[in-house]
Amino acid sequence: MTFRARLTIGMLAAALLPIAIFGIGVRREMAARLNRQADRQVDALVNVLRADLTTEVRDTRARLGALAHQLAADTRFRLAVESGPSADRRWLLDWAVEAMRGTGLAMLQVQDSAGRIVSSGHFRNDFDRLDPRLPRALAAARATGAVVRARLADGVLQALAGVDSLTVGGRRYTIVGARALDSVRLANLSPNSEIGVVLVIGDSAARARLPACGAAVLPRCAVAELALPYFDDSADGPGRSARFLVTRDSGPIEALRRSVDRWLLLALGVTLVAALGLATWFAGRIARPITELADKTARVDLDRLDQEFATDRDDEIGALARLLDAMTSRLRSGAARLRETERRATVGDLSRQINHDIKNGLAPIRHVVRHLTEIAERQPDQLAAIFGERRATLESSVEYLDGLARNYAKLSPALDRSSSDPNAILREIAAANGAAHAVIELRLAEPMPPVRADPLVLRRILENLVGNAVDALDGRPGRVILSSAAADAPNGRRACLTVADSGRGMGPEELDRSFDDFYTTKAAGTGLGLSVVRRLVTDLGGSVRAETMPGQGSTFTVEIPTA
Amino acid sequence: MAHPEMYRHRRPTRCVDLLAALLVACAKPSVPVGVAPAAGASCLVRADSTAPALTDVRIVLPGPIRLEAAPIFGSLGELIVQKQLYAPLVRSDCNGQVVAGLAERWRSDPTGRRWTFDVRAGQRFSGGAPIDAMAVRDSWPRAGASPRDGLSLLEPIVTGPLTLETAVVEPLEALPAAFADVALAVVGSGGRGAPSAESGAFRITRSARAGGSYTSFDLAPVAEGLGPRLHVDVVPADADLRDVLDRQQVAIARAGIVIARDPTALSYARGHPEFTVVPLPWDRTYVAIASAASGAAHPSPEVRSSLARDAVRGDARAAEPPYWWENAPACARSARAQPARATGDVAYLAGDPIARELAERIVALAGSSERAPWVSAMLAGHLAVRPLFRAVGFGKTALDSALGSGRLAAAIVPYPRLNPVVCEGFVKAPPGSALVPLVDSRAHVIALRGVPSFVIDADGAIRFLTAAAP
Repeated sequence: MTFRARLTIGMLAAALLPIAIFGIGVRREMAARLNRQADRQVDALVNVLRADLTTEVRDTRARLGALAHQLAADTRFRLAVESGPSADRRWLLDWAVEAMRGTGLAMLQVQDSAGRIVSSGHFRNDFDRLDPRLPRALAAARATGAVVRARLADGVLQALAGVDSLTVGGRRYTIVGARALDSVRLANLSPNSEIGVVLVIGDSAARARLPACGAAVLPRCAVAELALPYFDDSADGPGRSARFLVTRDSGPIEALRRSVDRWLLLALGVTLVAALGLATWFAGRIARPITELADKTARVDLDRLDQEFATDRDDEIGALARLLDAMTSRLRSGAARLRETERRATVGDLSRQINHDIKNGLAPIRHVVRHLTEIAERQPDQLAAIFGERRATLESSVEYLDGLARNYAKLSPALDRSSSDPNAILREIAAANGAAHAVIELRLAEPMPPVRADPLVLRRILENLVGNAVDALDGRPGRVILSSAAADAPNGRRACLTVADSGRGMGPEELDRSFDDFYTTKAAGTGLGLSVVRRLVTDLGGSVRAETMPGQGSTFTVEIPTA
Repeated sequence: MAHPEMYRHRRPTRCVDLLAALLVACAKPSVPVGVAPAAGASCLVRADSTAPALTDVRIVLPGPIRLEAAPIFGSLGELIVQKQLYAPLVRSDCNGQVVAGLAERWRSDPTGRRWTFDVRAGQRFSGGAPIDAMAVRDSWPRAGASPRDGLSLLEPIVTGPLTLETAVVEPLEALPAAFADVALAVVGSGGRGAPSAESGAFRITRSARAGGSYTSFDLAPVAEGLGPRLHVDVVPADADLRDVLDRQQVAIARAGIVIARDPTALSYARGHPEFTVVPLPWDRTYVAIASAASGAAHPSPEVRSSLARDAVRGDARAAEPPYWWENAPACARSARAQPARATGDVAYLAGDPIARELAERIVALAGSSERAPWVSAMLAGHLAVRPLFRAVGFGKTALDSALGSGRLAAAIVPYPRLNPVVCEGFVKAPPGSALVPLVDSRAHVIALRGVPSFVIDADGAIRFLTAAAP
């Protein structure tokens, strides 16, 4: 795994982990608080419900007591129940209807001692029906009241009932009253949509649908209950109980959790995308100078020690670059010394070769001279003729020696580092290298500081570059621009001498090998020009670099220390 | 087919009731101005003859009132309005006396089946068209001529410009009084969506409607000075008429008439000397349409009396035979029938308190441990499936549909007390069901002082006297 990948992963983890931990913590804390709040509401609701039921039963009994008192004192009631069918019977049948309206009760019924209904407010025409069980059941549950399921003309009514009695003419009458327990009323008890109150009778299917809340997450479950006696006046059988179940709907909490989860995932997603982008950019920014240093370092060898590591960064990378630059500088010095040693070692070989070559060149001359000497001594009259015959040999040998001298001159090292004026040398070269198709321009900085180099060496460097530039024009009209400038570098002030041409340029491979020994693209080239240039520049403590674009020309820049 | 007995029966009952009411009204010392029968005409009601005659009378009728099907009526309010607007060939007063209507003379052949009417010349519809024999013939088919009609009237024949001849399938002793039925009133063709052209003593000069029902009318006599201008206000059937009476007191200068069945309103009116309460003839019989054929086990007269006395708060009595549907069953039956499905519903016609109270009483009796045999018989087939019944109100159309679907245990509906000439305007019993008569009921007219004299026709409609229409 690359350093950049590790850096990216680390940054992602650093960005995502805190958000994930924060989100999960908020989610758990929120759920815990909501549950505690719901529990408090349930407790409060149970207390309110218990108090409300107690108050209602007491209030109903009070109203029934008042009605019983009123009824006992009413002469029309006495006449209606004592006289049989009469004009007051219709009044009696209507009495419970009117009394029920006036008291706000939902159920009101008067029964005689036999349990026969003599007046019914909630079901006016239910008179004369025998139903003695209801007052008995209510009397048994006098303290708590009871939930009654009473018949109506158009259905049934569930109500919280109480009972009272009165005596008229020695006969006892019971009066049953109740307040409705409809769904609206139960819904009004609920503080919010999450907590509700449901009235469940016996072990009905409704009870089965509302299991007690436990550890499992249920959509709606019962968290508390209050039980009261129950009586159904339309059904026989043993009495059952009515349960007020306080239910809790986990739907809103679950919905809130899901919402929080969605937002958390959204936040993580956005953070992931943003962190990925930032980490990639940041890791790239951190790794790029290291990669550049690695690339430069990979290019360094004994023949290519002109890599520049100098930088103005003041961080660890800058320190490393400066260390590498110093190391390269030391390597350059060492390499120069090594080459000097090698040169000295090879001077002997070279001298022997030169000696051999010169001897080879001198041998024909010596032979011709001896021959001519013999002719002059023996046949003086033939001297002119013989000289004419051997002259070509002499000229050929001289030409060979001259060529040999020029070739060896190219390998001649410059050991003198005296000061020289680069602008003057550039002007001389421009004047000497003019060609019909090439226009040589000078763009010289004035004043230009002198450089620490032997003028002959500097001239060889620049002549090589200008010669290559003119050759790069391939005989076509073009320009060669010679320029000079001075610049401050971390390792001192330097002169930048540039030779740019508008020639054919070079491809990447050609550029890579352009400074190699004996590499040439010219038919008559030796492949030593740029190699010698780089060695000479390196020996001067400078550097040379090339920039090129196929078809658009090349630019060679030589940087050497100023004097 | 109508039974002659029903017409013989209704005359003395109606007159006795009316006379009794009038006598009671006159006997009350606290009522200085009451209703006194006109000399020689017991069905003439003349309120406060000493008060100046009012030219504008406000009438309050229970709704809804529609005139699209005129002269067929579905409520007492529609009957009273149509009675002012559309005239039959003859009229039958509360004594059963047949008097001239649009016809000035009438006669029958010896068999009593063929009847000839001479229409009075010079009479016109409200649109100006003449009322002649042709107009009468064109009008009558709207009343129907199918065998299901109560009168079984045959197609009339025009024998002269003003002479019309018709026949009935069987001779009836009640003829020609049956020709006075408002269903045989002569109506002209009206415009699209407009009421039929009037032929009676009054014309509609203004009307207002809401949701298809009329909310008010202004009726003017055919000619100025021939009678009071009538302003008819239609109130919902369940409206508290005491409010209407209170407003009447405030606007006492516009003395009026209120038609009411509500016992509370009647009791309220009886407590005020400004009002006179006169019972109208028994016009409705409430029947239970039982899906089980065994429901034909009728409750005893005592049970019916108990229902009328205790279960119903309106003016009611035990249903008294004869029942016209026993002799003309086709008129009371609908055509469609489907298998019964037990639901435990006892339906009633919504907006009819008497029907609701009877339905509730049957529901109560059905849930009693001492269930009466007639209730068991009526609800047989349903009791075993669902012992708990409930009373449910339906509109007329919905009730027709529910009865046809067979999903009701029973339905309590009002039937006309008298044999209807046209079998329309009431809920029909599906084939196979039983009709169990329960109670009769009647409405009352509450008249304020200063109301001009009016008569009560045999069908219970009040009719103001005009110079042109005695």
